[in-house]
Amino acid sequence: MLEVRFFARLREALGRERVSLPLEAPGLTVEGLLLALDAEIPGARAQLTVPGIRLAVNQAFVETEAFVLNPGDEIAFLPPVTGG
Amino acid sequence: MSGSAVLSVAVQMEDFSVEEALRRLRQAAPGAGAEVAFVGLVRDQAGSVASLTLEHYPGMSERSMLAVCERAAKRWPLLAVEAIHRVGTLGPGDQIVLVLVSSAHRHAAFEGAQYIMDAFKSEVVFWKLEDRDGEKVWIEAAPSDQRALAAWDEASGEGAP
Repeated sequence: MLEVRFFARLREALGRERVSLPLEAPGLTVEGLLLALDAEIPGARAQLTVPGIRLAVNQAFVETEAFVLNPGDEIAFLPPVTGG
Repeated sequence: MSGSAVLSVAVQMEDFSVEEALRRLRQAAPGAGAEVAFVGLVRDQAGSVASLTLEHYPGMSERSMLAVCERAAKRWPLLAVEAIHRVGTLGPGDQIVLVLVSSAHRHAAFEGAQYIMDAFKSEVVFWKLEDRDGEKVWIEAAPSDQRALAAWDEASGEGAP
C-alpha cells in the first residue's frame, strides 16, 4: 500500500485528507501516482500539478525527477508553506 | 565547527516563555558570549484579523525545523539553538515562533538566527489560515521569502538545499 496525504488548501480543494493506494511492487513514477490519484479523486491531477506544490516522501522533500515509490511509503502533497 | 551545537526544536499548541527558553539555551551550552532571540507574533493588519490557525504536517514539521537548524550550525560556529513553532488557533499579538541562538560572538549569533528564520519561512511545513471578519483565507507564500533564502544560498556559493 501507499499512503498519500494532502495538506491545507489542497486538502480542502480535494475534499480528502488521505488516500490509500494499492502498490505491490516498487518503482511507481510520479506520473503513475498522479494517474492513480486522478482515478480515485476526479480532477486531482490538475490540482496536484499546480506550480509551487512540493512533494515529500516519508516526511522528506523530494524533487519529482528522482521519484521512485516503494510499498509502504508515505507521500504528501504540500502547498507552498507559510509558517514562521 | 559543525556537529557540536546543541539543537532543540518543538512544535506545540501552548504558548512559550522566552525567558525560560533562554535559560534552557544557556544550560544546554554554557560559555556563550552572545545570544540572539527572535519572536514572531500574529500581526493585526488594520484590525481585520480575528484569528490565525496554523496547520502542520506532524513529524515532518519537527524534522524540517531540525534540518534548517543543522544547516545553520554547519555554516556558523553556533553553540546552541532552540526553536519553537506553535500550531492551532492564535489571536492578534500572540507569539507564533521563537528562535534562540547562542555563539561565542555576536556576528554568528545574529546571522545564524536570521538565516534560520529566513529558511523557516520557505522550508518548514506549516500553513496559516487567516480568519478575516469571518472569511477564512489561506495565506499566500510571499515571493520575498523565497528570495531571502536564495540570497543566503548565493552568499555561501551553494545551490538551493
